[in-house]
Amino acid sequence: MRLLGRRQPLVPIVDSPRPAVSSHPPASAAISPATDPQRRNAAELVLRMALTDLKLRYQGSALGFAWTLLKPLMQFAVLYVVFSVFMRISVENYQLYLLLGVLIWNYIADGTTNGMMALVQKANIIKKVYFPRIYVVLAASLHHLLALLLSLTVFFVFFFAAGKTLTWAAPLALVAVALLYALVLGLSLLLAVLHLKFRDTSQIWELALMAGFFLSPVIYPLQVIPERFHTLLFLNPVTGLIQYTRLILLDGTLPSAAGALYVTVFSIGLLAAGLWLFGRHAHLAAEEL
Amino acid sequence: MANPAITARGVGKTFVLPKEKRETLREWVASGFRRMSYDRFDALRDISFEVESGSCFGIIGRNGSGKSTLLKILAGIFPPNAGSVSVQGRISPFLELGVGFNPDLSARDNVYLNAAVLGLRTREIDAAFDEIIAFAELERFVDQKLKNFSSGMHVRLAFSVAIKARADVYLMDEVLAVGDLVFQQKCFDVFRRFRSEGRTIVLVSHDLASIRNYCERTLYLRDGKMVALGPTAEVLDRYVYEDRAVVLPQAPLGTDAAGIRSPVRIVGARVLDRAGRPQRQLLAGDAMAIEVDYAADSDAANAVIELTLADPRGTVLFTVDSGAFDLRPPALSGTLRVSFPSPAIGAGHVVVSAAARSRDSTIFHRRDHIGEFDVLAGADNRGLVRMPVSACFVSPPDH
Repeated sequence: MRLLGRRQPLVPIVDSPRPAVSSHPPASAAISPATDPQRRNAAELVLRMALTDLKLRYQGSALGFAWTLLKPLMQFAVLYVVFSVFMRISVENYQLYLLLGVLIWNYIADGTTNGMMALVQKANIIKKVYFPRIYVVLAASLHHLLALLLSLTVFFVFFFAAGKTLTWAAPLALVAVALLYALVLGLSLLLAVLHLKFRDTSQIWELALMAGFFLSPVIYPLQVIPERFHTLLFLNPVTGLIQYTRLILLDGTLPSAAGALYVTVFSIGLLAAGLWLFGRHAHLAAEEL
Repeated sequence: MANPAITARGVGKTFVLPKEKRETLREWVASGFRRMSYDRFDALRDISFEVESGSCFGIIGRNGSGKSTLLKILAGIFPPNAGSVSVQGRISPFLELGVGFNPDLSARDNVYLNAAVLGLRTREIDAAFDEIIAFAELERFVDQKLKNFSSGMHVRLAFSVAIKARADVYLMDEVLAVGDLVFQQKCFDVFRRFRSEGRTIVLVSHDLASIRNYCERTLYLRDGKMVALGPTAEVLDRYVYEDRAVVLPQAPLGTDAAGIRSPVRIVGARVLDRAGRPQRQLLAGDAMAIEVDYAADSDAANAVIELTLADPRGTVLFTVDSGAFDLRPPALSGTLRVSFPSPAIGAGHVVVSAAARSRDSTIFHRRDHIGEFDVLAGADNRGLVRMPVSACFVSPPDH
């Protein structure tokens, strides 16, 4: 098949019967890609790939790793100048409000984009080594989660510098981050499989993210949107995730039970769907890359 | 087999090649969501074999014969469409050295990453790290980025990590083609150690010498099917000799083809020295030429005139023909002149033979021993052949 070249990807037959395989871990992994009884270092490998990606992200740039923190800060500065100074949005704690929104949105955008591309970017490894393919997507989402956690420390510097204090509700922010991770991983898994089949998934997703940026209250306060559109806005789980994190950290109050339940079910459901679809298709990744 | 490390039964792999490639949504929509039509390509069909535990098993075949696909199935990178593979013990999940090496990472980081991909735990890598670097002879470069490494350093590092992957069965694809001779020797020493430790090796290679030296049994694949499976020597014989697609028709030595008067005949030949005079003795290295005269009944334009130089025992030293230069002989009669500006014959007696044949290798006429000459050794060298050389004395290094 090497002769056929890259532009002629070979699609495997899907209707052929599954091979009867005994005691062969890779083939059993074709049925359940998340497990490999011979692979004893799963967590270590995923973490190492994530840390390597983080390390390589700004490789060669003068400021290197500092960009992980600088980039969201610069983004924040630009948005703040535009919306606070020029457009005169006046909300209490708008700086912190905006910074938190930007950080969470960046995680969703970068995490899903990278997760979607993970199989393609790691094609050189996937075609040469067997390991459960989900690792590369896990590593991508984890790498950006680490970046989020790092940049959250910057948020907390500003937070305490502004004289604010954490309330008893603050630990719930961890739940929000966990749900955020589930959402990003679920989307990544779905997108990664779609991207295997249709390479323009990445273009479409880029547009979707641009729309999502404005359909979620990242830069604008929810109050500027008429009340009657709020339900519609909250159908987008990102609205809830951003808004509830702000409630918990900035206001020290809790989101509504219905809203929290909706976001939880949506995120977990997306993750389940992602795992299911990925499990069905990922074992063919080496052939389609 | 009492204790097979690998058992493959009826393994098949079919790839489906979309007739119209439809990789983007637009193409899919434009085609009206129709089901794609496919060409099926059987990369492997009904492959069955066993590999004895602790042995070395070779897989050979020409390009596109399915060797790498089979190895990928054994490694679990591709799932098979048919049949089954079972492996006793842990199989190395990789086919190439240095998978996942990143040029922007240091040797240290690459070792950790690569070893993790190969299945080692962090504390195992910690424990083996110094040994890995020492084996690769890269102690001074541990924290250098990989992109500054020579290809030799790269390979040494990769190999040093690979041999730490704790597997019972190792799969190696053309791995021996890399590195210098000393390093290849080091690789084979490790292989031998693996063997003595009871590990199993599956080797895919175009290098028949490695296969012959190291593999007890070999599988020969052609077009995805098994051609031969058995002791390496037998399989290699079959691979080398049986599959010559083109066998040249040859007239027996010293006879005219079929005894019929040939349409094109060799009439005579001369050996000329550097001044163009007929000679029987030449000095080694001096320019020379050989002329072959032919005659034809009707038209010699489609004939090829062939010249052969041999030693007195009949061993061919050199052969050349006018077809190689795409020359067309003038009709009816003529002379082919072959010039040797710098002949490589060092010394000895040389026998000249010539033949006329058609372009499809049917011999018209053949004259063995139509001429001969002696080459006298020059002052600068002796021996059968002359070759361009240079030499110098090297002082021992200062202590």
